[in-house]
Amino acid sequence: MSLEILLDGASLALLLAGAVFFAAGTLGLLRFPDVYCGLHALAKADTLGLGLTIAALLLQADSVTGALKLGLIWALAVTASATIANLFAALARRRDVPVWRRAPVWRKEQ
Amino acid sequence: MEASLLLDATLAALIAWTAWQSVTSREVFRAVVLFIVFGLMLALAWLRLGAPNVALAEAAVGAGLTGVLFLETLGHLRRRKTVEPPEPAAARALRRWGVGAAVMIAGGLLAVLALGLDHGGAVGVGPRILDQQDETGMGNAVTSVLLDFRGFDTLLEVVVVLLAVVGAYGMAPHGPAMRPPGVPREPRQPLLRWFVHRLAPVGLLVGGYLWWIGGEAPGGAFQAAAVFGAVYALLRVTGQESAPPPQGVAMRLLIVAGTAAFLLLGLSMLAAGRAFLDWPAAAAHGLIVALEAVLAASLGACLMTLVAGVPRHESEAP
Repeated sequence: MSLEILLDGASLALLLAGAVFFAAGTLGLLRFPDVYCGLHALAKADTLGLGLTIAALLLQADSVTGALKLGLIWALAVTASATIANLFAALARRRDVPVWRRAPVWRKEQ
Repeated sequence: MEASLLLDATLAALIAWTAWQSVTSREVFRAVVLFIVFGLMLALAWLRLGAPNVALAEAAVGAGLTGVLFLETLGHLRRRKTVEPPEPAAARALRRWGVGAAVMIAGGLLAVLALGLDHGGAVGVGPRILDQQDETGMGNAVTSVLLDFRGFDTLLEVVVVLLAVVGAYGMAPHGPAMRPPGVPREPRQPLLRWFVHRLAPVGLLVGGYLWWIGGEAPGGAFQAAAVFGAVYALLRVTGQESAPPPQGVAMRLLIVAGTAAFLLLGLSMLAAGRAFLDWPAAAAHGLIVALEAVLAASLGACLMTLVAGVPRHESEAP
């Protein structure tokens, strides 16, 4: 198999994986029970999706400079999303947004 | 249906949907966030149309900086406790669907007209511009159009930004009890300071890179100025003392410098016996690069001034 087909196939697989993680992150943001869990979904799953997408693009990069620029974009996105998630959580704490606790499981009377 | 057509159709539908939601939303914060998303979708659409320069400008200015200005205004409104009267459900449905239907009908008519236009086999100006690009010495056709062939339009754009700054200050109340704008807020969180400490130099570097690369690749003065304005907005939010308040003679000179330099260069061409804003082919490259530098700095100063806001009364919170 030629190198190009291999690279394209790997890029496609990485892109699909990235799309899956993005979808999972969005689903988590919509369906998790409170703000703090939703921020986990955004900061972790979306960042991993972005990392996989950038890895796919790195395989297709034309030059080292292009690859370095992609890496810089990824580093900036990771730092920004982590900081923003922290700031949002701090804001929610200041506004006394209640933290979701798992509902108690009632033991059956013996 | 091939994949790119599907992608374009989805993008067009998303653009229309976010625009509709943003315009008809009662919560202002929701409207602003949807407006920012709409700007990003538009940038994607420009990319699909093969216009990376416009996409950069749309993302930086339309979505980024305008979004920041909207959010600051929203914060100001919230502190003054502006309250919207409640709206009955029937009136709300009528308003939203009425606006949506009207826009869809108008947009549909426009699309039908545009697609049915017969341009008689004309190819447009593109090939001619590419042929004559050697006159300008620029590798980027868009920059040569913006700053050489259609320099007059760019001059008017720069004047518009200057007028925006003058207009914003003109509408502000003035008097002895006014506090000058741009007073930094108190830093609230150490993480934010840490982040901005590291991001601001990178942001300045990105802005400088966008200005420099504008000659050969998508970029240019407006995009660089938008990035500088964004860096300033970040610095203000964290209360860094390094955010210069847009007062003082130096700042005002910088704000006017873009328009002044553009006009002076154009008039000097007149004095040299050429047409207004008609650069000679030998000196065009140097002139355009120098002009872009002054424009980037000046437009950055204008956008910083808009981000910092206007003088406020002492009793109001910053």
